[in-house]
Amino acid sequence: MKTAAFFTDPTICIGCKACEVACKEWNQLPDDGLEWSGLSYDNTRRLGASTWRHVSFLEQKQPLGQQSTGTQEPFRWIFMSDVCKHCGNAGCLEACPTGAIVRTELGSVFVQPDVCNGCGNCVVCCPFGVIDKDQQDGRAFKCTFCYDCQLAGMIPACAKACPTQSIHFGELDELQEQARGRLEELRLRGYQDARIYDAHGTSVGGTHAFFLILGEPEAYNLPPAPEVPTVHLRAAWTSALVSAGVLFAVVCLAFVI
Amino acid sequence: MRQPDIVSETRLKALREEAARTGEIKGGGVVPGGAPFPRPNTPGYYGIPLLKEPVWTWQVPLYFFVGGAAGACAVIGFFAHVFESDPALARAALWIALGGGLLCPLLLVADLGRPSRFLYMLRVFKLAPRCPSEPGR
Repeated sequence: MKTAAFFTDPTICIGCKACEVACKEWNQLPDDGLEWSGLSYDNTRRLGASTWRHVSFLEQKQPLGQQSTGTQEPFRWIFMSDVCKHCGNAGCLEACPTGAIVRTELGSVFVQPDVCNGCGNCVVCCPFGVIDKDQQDGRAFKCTFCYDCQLAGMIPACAKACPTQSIHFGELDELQEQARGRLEELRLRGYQDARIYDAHGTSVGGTHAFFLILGEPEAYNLPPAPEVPTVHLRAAWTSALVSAGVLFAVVCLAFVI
Repeated sequence: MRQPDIVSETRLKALREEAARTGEIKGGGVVPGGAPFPRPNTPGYYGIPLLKEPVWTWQVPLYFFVGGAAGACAVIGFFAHVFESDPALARAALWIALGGGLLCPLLLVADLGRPSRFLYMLRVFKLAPRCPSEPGR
């Protein structure tokens, strides 16, 4: 079976949030409250248990490629549709003690809602801060990569709804090729700070949902060097064993002396 | 009330010059309250935390304490029993260890979002437990 992937290209995103709406419609997610945040046009703020697509709105005082805004200061307004990255080495999957989080045959990371018991381990182990526990429901939820759609031969709701094809859905290798081509094209057109964000070269080991971003990843709330928490596992167990040994030795000594 | 001093005044002057020149301030500095001062160029997305805060409830830190105390008491009781120095101490320590050992799983089950599914923890066995609260489960 092929490896499915998302390639999200903010340079052609218009910030319409159709992906957010389509995601909620297809997956029947509850609303997050209707509040104005005042953070540009972003009233969603972040991904969560009932928000599996989130469009970030960045206002930056620098030019977009060679565009002229006609204002005194250069200005660019960037929209980026964030989503679960479906990591190569997923922190949530490795932390899940019930085996509710699994790697599907499509390469995506899927939370089985009928198995999850809401322990919350995955929430702290996601290096991207994606998965969250629904406090009312008690279980953890995140993007399913529209697993049900894909099994039926359809494409995920967000990619289907995207009017500018900013969200590409397809096979991982092909999309990576496409992203590299797009990056080259943008560089030629003067987008010098464009880069591909896919967490390659870290312990995350690449992602199945990657992005072409302008500027620093921090500005998009993306970690510049994400690490799977299990890289600290050896140190954690070593210190636990050492402290247990010390406890034994000290107590034994106390009785002997 | 804070009196102006020569160090702060010099730093303020440097900051103002830097702000006038570049429109932003890279380094830290004196931030006088209410002054019309350009904000430092902070990375991040509107100050929204990148990572999710833990969803564990008060039962989990209590579990760490009870579990640690029970474990330490078990060790104390074991040695007191082996060396036969103090039978009362051995009995008390082992009772505390037993009580703590019984309380620990209850605390962890109470923390779950779906407590009725606590047995699902035993569905799979991962050779290296991946998260701090898992060994207890």
